[in-house]
Amino acid sequence: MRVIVAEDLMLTRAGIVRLLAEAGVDVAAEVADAEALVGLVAAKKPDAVVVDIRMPPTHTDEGIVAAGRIRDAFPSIGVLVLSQYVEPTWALRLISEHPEGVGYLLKERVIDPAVIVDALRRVIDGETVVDPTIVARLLGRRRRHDPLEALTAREREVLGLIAEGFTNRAIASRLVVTERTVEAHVSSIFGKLDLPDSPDHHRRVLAVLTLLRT
Amino acid sequence: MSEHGRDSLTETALQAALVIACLGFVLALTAAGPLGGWATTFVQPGFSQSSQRVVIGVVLAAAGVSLTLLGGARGGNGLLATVIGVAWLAMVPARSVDGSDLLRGPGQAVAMLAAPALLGLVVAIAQPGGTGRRMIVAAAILLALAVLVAALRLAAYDPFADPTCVSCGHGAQPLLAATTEQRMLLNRAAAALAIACASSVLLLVVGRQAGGMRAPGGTLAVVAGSTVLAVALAAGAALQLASAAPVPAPEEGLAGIIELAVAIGGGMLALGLLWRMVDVLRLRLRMRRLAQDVASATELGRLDVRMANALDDPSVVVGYWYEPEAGWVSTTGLPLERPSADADQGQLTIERGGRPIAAIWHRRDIEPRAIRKELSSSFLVALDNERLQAVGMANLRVLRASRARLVSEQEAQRQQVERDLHDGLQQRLLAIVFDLRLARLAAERMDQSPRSRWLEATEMLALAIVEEVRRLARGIYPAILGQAGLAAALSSLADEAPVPMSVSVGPMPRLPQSLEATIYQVIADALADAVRGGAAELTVTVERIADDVTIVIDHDGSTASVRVRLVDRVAAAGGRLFDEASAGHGGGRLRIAFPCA
Repeated sequence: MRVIVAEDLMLTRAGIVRLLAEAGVDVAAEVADAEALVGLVAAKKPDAVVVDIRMPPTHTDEGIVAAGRIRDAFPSIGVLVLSQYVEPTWALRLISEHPEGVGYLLKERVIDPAVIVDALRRVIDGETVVDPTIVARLLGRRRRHDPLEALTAREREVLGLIAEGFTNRAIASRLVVTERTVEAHVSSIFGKLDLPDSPDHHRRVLAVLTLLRT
Repeated sequence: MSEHGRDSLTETALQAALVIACLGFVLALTAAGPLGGWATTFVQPGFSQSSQRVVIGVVLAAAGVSLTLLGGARGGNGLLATVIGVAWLAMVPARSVDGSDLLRGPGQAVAMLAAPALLGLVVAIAQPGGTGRRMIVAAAILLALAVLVAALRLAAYDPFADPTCVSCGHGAQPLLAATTEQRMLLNRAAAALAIACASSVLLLVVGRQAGGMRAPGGTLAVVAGSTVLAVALAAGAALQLASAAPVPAPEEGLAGIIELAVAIGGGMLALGLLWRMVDVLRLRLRMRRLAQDVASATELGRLDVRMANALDDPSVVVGYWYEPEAGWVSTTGLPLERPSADADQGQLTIERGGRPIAAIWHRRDIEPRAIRKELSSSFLVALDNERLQAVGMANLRVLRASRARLVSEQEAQRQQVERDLHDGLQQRLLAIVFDLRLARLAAERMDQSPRSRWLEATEMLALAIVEEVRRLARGIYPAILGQAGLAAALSSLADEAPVPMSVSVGPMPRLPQSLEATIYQVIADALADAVRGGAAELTVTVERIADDVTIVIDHDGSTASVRVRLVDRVAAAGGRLFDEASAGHGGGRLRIAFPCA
């Protein structure tokens, strides 16, 4: 697969490009700011874009804004937003604005080729990706009346994977069970948590994340 | 405001009545002569004409002297009024047909000073500013010229050459020998000067420069009187210039009307000055009452309000000198912008030992000297008391601002440290992690498992450091606060809180960054303290109520530990902290309010 990398810090950008290459990903172009990105995407037509969330000029959420523009203009191109902050706020915002074909990962995740390739493939397929560290933080939040108490251990595991954006099939292969088993777990979980069991799997990611944020 | 409107309506009505009274007074005087043909009485030089001149002249002179003594005369207008009065009186011997010729000469000379003195009076009252200052120069020049011509006339007066002098023949010798033509020239010069002065008066009254004359206080009569007088004097002088005679022949009808107009104008002017005198007396009485009132008052009142009432001027402002800011402050210690752009106010500065301590700004037309005469020593003591209070409040204000700035700077520094950690340290650590992984991948490709294992261990160490730096930076300043606001930052805080913490942030616009940082810090501190005090859960609400942002923290830990740390931080940001006992079970409720304009 072909990707474009957008990252303003040269040191980090070079590292990301090399690690992607190691993972067998073809880096079609590199760019240091979000303005040039959309034009470049139009020209190069990559399969996916890897973009840092913090870029000039404000160094706050340029990455998310760029992700939105790319998704609007090119619905077939996936976007992975990389961040150094374990901040559920950004992940929630990204997914609520563009539920399909986007992912939010911590920058260090790039060192693991299996993880990065899998994430890229998923966003290219129009799925959602959320870094497991963020999900873990949300699951670990202390609550007064914990709705998660009603879940079994297995159901909690499945819930975590749902929050990370995996499809039922992907969950099934990870847990080494059948897809039907997973579907049953999902129904049970959504019933216990009083969430609308939407077949649209993007909405379910958002629903779970929002619930976990109370 | 409507009360003030009603007051000015009453003023206008009073002034209109005054004008009518003036007219009536003058007419009554003229009717003192034989009934019927009252206009002709004026034309005939007789008892009624002389008596009218004497009365008006005396009143004018007396009003001028009194105004000066009372302190109500600005720019020497009291002196000028006196001069007009004397000039008026001088018209008696000047015009009398069979009077002493020893007085005629001086009389004529002094009488011609009436017009220039009138101009001077109007200039002094109007106090034109800016380009109108040329008018002051012009008036001074005209007055000087008039005095010169008057002196020459006096010196060159020859009773033999005066056609109106009937019984002359034996009298003083002129000091200066002059031909008839030269005398005519002097007479014409006098007339021309009168016209010039009168036109200037009209210019001032009608033009925009006479702002000071339109003020209330009975000067409407002065304005009206001056206008009428100016017109009449100019007409008389014009008539004089037109005819060959130095003084118009008494039986001409036009001359009679001019005389009448002069008398009316003079009468109105006299009454106007008397009214002014009354005003000044009233002002001084009110000021005296205020001074006594203030001296006997036990509490520090609003001196500026009391002064405004005493002076009947709602625009009065009292200011006290505040040395640290080298400027004026109000009674509440807030800085005063003076002199303000509104230049329509006069400033009365009260000094002690050569340095200013207080100042009173008042409406232009109020005489500062009249106020100053009533500033008794007890009043000054009361003023000093208010000044001490004002200075104290100003000191407090300055101190609070300084403290808030220190806190704000501290927050900014922390933000900077977080940024440096993120951009500098963490980036390089990540780069190291990337390189270690790349090296490991290369080692694995080359089947170097010991190296690969060692690299893996180092990589995990580096990743752990990355995580630690992340945590450290977050503890110094949560970047999400500056990027996404208070609600996001508080959600993050709750994510990682050691006890269940529910946060709800009401709808409100983005607050100033330093305020958001303070609120976040206060809540974070409260959380830490509550947990230390054994709390098992926390509820935090942040809402905008009226002009404040209110934070309510409910917890079930021990109250003492929570409160102490927060007090300073809250106070430094200008907020208030209320310790409210929680209903029923143990624990506590803190309510903190910050003003946000």
